[in-house]
Amino acid sequence: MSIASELGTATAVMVSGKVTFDYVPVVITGSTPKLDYANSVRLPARSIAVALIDSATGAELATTKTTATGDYSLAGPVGKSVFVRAYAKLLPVNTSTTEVVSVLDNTNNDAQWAIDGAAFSAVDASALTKNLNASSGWNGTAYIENQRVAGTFAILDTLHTSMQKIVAVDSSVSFKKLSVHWSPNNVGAPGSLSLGQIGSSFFSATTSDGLVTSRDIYLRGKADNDTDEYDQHVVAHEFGHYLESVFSRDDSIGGRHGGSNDRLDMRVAFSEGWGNGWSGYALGNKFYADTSGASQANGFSFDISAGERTNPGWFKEFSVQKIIWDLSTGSIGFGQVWTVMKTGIAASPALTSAHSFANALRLNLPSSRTALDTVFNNQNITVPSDAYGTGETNFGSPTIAEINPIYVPYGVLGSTSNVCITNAADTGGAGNKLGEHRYLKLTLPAGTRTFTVTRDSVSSTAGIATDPDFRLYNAAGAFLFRETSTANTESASATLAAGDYVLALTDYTFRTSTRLRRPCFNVTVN
Amino acid sequence: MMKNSLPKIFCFRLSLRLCFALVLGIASSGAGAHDTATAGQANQQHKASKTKALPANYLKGMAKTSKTDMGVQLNYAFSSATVDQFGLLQLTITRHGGGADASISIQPDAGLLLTEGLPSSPAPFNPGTSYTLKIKPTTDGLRYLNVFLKSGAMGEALAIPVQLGKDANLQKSGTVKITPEGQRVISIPAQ
Repeated sequence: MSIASELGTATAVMVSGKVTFDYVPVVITGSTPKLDYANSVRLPARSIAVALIDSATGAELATTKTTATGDYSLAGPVGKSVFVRAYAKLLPVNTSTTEVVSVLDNTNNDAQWAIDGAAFSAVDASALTKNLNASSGWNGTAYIENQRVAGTFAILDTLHTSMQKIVAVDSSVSFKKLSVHWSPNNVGAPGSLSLGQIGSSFFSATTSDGLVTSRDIYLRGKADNDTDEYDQHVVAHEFGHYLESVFSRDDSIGGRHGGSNDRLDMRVAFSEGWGNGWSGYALGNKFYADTSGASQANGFSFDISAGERTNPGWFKEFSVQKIIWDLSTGSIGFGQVWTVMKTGIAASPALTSAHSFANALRLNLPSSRTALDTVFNNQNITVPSDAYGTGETNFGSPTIAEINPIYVPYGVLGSTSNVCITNAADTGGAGNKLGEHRYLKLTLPAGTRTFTVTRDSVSSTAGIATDPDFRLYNAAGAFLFRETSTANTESASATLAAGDYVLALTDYTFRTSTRLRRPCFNVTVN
Repeated sequence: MMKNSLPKIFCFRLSLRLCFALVLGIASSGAGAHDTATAGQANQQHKASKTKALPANYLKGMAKTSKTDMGVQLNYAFSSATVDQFGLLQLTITRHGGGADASISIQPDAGLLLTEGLPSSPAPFNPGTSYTLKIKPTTDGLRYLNVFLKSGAMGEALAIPVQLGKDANLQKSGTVKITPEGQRVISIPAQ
């Protein structure tokens, strides 16, 4: 369509310009990061949606997206008041993608963030230049909140950089819709999202009937408390969870992580370690930094490549992040890491973990066994002979006997397996630590199967109540959840195809009581 | 009863229960109560209060670190006040997993006066440490006590909400414009 016919006018004017945003870098002194406002620079807003807006009606007269240098060109009418708007909306960064990333204000009915240029009216067809810059709003000592918008473009810039790292190894990749929710009201307090009480920055995928209906990242933005819009690793970390959601498989049960010698459930350790390791690779910066405090001049940082110094293993987030970093930046390369994340890690019902990841790499790279052993053994992880961690000898320090072997083989249909779990590694009632979940590997014939878990009162710690819960997994992840409040027993049925499955069992009371205990359960499948 | 019968939301970097609380939109802030603290209550500042039963009109909440390995949890209870009248906030700090010595400092938002605060700033704390803080709101709306925690090289911020009046009076940026297609756009002038 010609410019003139598109506009419905006989005369058109070319409006061109550059869209930029104030980028505030992070500087680290010692291990303390801060936002370095003194060294702010204007960066091009890449692949951003731009529109020419009719001042009178608010209608979009023409739309486009910025180039890699932030430039745009639009055709506009002569003699009509218009203005240029740049949305905090990232349009596809490659030809395979049709869906977009939008930055919305969750405390303002998810309104779309944007910057508007001044209105103008072209007097003739002479080309016009209209540059737009999104301001950080920083006045030297504080934010002027009604000018503070550059952060929304900074978030998209980090996502653009991250996406390009994926495109570099997977040119046909197609990103799905993502909504990023950022507001100056978003703060580290639990409560209502619409009030900005988001707790931590986080990713969530909402599903309905097994299908994902939305993917969302929430980021903190409260000045002089914790702002994340310029904390690129935080943004890339959450985007790492998005990547798992869209392209891979993630069995993480979430929950609190960190703490001295924090021995995590292996699903959590892998997911969080992936997020950190990936963020370092995506940004080409191994120093993860998260600013906070007055004037955003405090926070924490760590070296992703350093790994876990205290009792490393497959249950440590820092061990996994180092492995992801070492593999991605070393001889194996990120292309192999991405291939395994997309396909290999979901090749069996084995839960997502350092072992299922290592095994998929081993199968993909038989000639690189020495290199793989070096990377994994450095963190005291065995490259296993299968996705179930067979061959692993590290069960933590102090050792947790209940997790050896990592998967309990279930016998023939109708038999009973007795398994025990413990909260020995959980002093705070998190419910996501090593030993609090037990995994059974099952090979089942086709048919309707009933799974029954019952407390074994003989072997369990005396005098405790239990509330068993379980999930059943196949290669696509968890598909059967049984998590009721019924005491001491749980049961569910499903019609299954013949094949391998994994049942993950836990006791919900680990989250409601910190008393040290070791419940045991009998598991039967009929 | 299903414990997790909500729409399936997978949350990361926050607890599952917090995740579900967020899904439900459960506010833990202290909206609605308007009792005024007495002078006697104010004198409880800095005293350990682990065994003291809170009056029923105290509104309780909890926040915990999630970005760092500090493993700190704040439990707070606020005897809400009206504008220009004092309220008391009881704060108990617990810590899971150990680590380096930790300290806490608190900075109120504009609109809140912390008339009697921590014994020092920052204040070292041990697990189980409790404080009673005296707060005087000067405006209605949702305000926060900004809490800064330090442990070794780790630093993390949390926030304790203090709600005065019915409206949150949230920070509003720019002007919201409705497009002909019905989309809400926050319009901020470009430079």
